[in-house]
Amino acid sequence: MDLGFPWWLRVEHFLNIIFISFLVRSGLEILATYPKLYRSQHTVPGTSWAQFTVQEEAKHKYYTVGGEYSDYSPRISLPGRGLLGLGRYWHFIAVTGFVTCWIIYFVLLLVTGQWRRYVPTSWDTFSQAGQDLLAYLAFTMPQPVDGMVFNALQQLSYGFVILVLTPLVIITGAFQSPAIANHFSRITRALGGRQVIRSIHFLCLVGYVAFFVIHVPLVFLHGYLHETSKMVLGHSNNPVLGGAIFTFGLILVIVLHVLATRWTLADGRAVERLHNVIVRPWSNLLYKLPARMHYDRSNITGKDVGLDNTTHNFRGSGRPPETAEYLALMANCYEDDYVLEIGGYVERPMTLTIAELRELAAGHSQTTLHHCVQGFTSIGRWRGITVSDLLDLAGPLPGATDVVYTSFQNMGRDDALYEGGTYYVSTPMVEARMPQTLIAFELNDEGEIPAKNGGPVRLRLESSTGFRSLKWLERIEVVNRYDIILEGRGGYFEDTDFFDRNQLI
Amino acid sequence: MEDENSPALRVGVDFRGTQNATQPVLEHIRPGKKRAPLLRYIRINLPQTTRLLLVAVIAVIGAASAAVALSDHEPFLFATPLLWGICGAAMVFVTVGLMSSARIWTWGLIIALSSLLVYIGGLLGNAPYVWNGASVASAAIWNLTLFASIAYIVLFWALRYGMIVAAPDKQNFLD
Repeated sequence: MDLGFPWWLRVEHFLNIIFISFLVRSGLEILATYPKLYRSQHTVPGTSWAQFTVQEEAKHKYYTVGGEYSDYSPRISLPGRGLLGLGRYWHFIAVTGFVTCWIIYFVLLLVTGQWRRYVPTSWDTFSQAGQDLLAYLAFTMPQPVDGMVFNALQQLSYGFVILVLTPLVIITGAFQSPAIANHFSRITRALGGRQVIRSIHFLCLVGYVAFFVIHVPLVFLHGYLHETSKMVLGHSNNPVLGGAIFTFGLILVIVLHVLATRWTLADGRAVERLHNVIVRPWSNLLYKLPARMHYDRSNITGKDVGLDNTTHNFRGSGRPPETAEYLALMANCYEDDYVLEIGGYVERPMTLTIAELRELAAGHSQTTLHHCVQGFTSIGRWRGITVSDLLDLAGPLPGATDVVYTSFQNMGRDDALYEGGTYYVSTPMVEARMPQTLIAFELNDEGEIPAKNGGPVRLRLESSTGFRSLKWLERIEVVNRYDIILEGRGGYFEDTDFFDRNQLI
Repeated sequence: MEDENSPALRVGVDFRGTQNATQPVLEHIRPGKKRAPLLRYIRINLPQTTRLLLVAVIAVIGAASAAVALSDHEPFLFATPLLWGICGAAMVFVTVGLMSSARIWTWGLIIALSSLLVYIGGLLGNAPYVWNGASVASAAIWNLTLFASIAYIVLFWALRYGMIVAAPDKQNFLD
């Protein structure tokens, strides 16, 4: 068959330039917020295999993950300046286009027989690719195989990028979603755990960049006008016209990046609206994937890290409340003084002490992986009672839609990195009712949750990114709408920053 | 010393009042700039892999030099003894690199630069290019000495710049 360059293949090639460049830049923004790569899920300090920051290690004994942001230039990352939420929005917008494009492309390759352009149909292709590599090294131009549009080495390298690298980057991207990773936790562990997946995802980026660095000079060596004309017109009969259109397209991509960066820095809420239109239709489907993790701490890495070590390394990501009330609770060991209020749109408002929570929990625990939105992970065994059980006790009234959790923490007062008021999050009822949505009062085996990890009582939302697992829980309110609370976006970071309440990805 | 009972102060570690006791400290930022040069942000801590990579690149230079020396296409007059010299030095380098933990990277640089000089000499002489009558394989091997030399020089620069580290050194990340 005549493989040629069908129109859909040329469109896909151009769209990929847009999507991959947006993915790389927004991906770097996400990396910038926790610019360290690990092999172990415990993210033990000092064990990262790569760092992408110029920040010195903090000298404090306790430093929060919020202080690990690196301020990358908007010329490199999208949008730059450590704006993780907006970087995530762009990443997910581009992911939607990229994955859709790849699936359509994959199907078209199969049904049109164009898969032959990438998949070798003979073992000779491999030996021919070796000959082609030698030809390139000898500064000569290898010729295409008979009936093919490019040579064997090009066939194998394009095939690798489209049929191996792209599925790999999609899978490792998908498994960074806490909802997907924690629902299919066995697959997560089979892939090496979240930090290995994150590292592979980064190496896929390196792969794309490496491909780009080799591909572009070779396009010039083969003849820029001749080659780009094929990707525009489908042939090289009019190389000047094709090359000019392609060059115009590249300029358009650069203009798109400049506009997107400036627009994002000027009006983040508009990007948020765009994200909500494009991403929410599929990200909301992830509510159908409740977390079902049961990690055995000792076999995550195949090496027993020890209980003390694990507890020590369970990273804190916020500063405990600095009020006389909270300090007094801490001084009295919480046990007799702390009371969790449950109220709002319920039949039976109630207050529960830790002793009562412990009795209700009846020894229930879950050992789970914490997915920080920035990137760190820790594994902890949480003892507590499910929110679902508490809701059954309180009895939500008909029409109750959401559950709001309020912390003792006041961000502006307690954490120099942030402004604003009381920390709160809200969950839709479907998330509150998930089997691993937990009100926890013990971490590992030391009896109580350390202050840095949210003691005495905290929320665990295992299907969401970490910041929604509210720490230092003061009260729970069942509501029939959350959009009238403060800025109406459903949480502290949703209100004051650019994060979607749906943090399942 | 204000506190005789402080073990940290007794050994000269005193972070009190230092800038990064209270706020982040950023390195490599030149006066008047907000950010460090781009490549300063990259720090890879794979010492064993990097050591093997450096040794492998020199091994490629040595093997390619030997192949060129064995061919009947001498790049320039008296190039063959030079190529064998590079090959011998590369063999010693690879042996020391694999059998010990010595920091031999500057010696590797000398090998890479020597190979590069031979290549430049070939440009002025009768290098085994296809257009000089050499086979594709011979030309590829000859050019491999160029690419491998450049690769080593780039890696050596990255090593000195702090982007990568080779065993027995490491980045000493503390987090």
